[in-house]
Amino acid sequence: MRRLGKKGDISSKAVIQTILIGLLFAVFFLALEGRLEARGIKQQVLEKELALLIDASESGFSFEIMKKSLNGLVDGVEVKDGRIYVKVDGLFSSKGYPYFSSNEVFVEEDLDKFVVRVK
Amino acid sequence: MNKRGSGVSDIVEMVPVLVLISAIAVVIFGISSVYYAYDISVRDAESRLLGRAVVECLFPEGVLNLDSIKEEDRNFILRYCGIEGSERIYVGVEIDNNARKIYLKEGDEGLLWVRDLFEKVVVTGNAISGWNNENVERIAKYNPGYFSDEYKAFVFENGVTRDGFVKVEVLINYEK
Repeated sequence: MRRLGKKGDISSKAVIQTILIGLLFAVFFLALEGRLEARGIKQQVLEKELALLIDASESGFSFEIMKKSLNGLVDGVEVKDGRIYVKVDGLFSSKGYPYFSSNEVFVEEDLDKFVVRVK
Repeated sequence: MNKRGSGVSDIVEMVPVLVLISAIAVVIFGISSVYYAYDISVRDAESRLLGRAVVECLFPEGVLNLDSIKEEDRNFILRYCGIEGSERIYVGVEIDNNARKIYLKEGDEGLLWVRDLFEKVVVTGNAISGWNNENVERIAKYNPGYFSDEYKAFVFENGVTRDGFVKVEVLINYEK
């Protein structure tokens, strides 16, 4: 007949299980947090707004994006290979959004804003 | 059972529990990904802006100089205008100078067929039998952006200027 494990064995097993399950849930809730705060949507809004502004701009135009905005804290704005990437609230942009302006586009960073120049 | 054996059996017993909890977590995360995902469509605005850019490129002062557009550029009109094309963009320009019709374009003309399908499904909601509103809304987010307009212009060709009409059509598809 199998002897019941000692109290120490049962409680150490329970502790290990609790820790592992706790870790799983922690990872799960961290992943979900981004969704609930809608960082992805804020990023989408900013990227598409900026892409449209670039499309509509003529040579010599420039516009500013304040770092603290209604759409969250803008950590970075970058243009590369005809796409604009905006980093919002720590969320990196992997896809960006394409613009089709025939002009050259540059981004400069100031203390409290980003300036997009269309040349 | 010796101590080593009981340790291994503990781990083996825990694996199904962990797999089950991971599976539940993945399902909940997957559902939340779908539920909270939202696509903001700006394709109509993009189409309008691209249409305007093409018009300003081809006949900025109301005169379209066909002699300056080489034969090889007529199927790559965006490239001619210094705009990078994309597989999701179709631009078509029909020039009617009362003598003949000339076509300039770039992109896949088949995208217009996709637009026609969406027009029927999204606007009427009943092009496909058995589809209810929920299904229509589900695919409505893939509706391409579209712009079309006709302009009066002077068309200059072979040293002759004629009154004409220019129809510009732009379609921008959903980005994958």
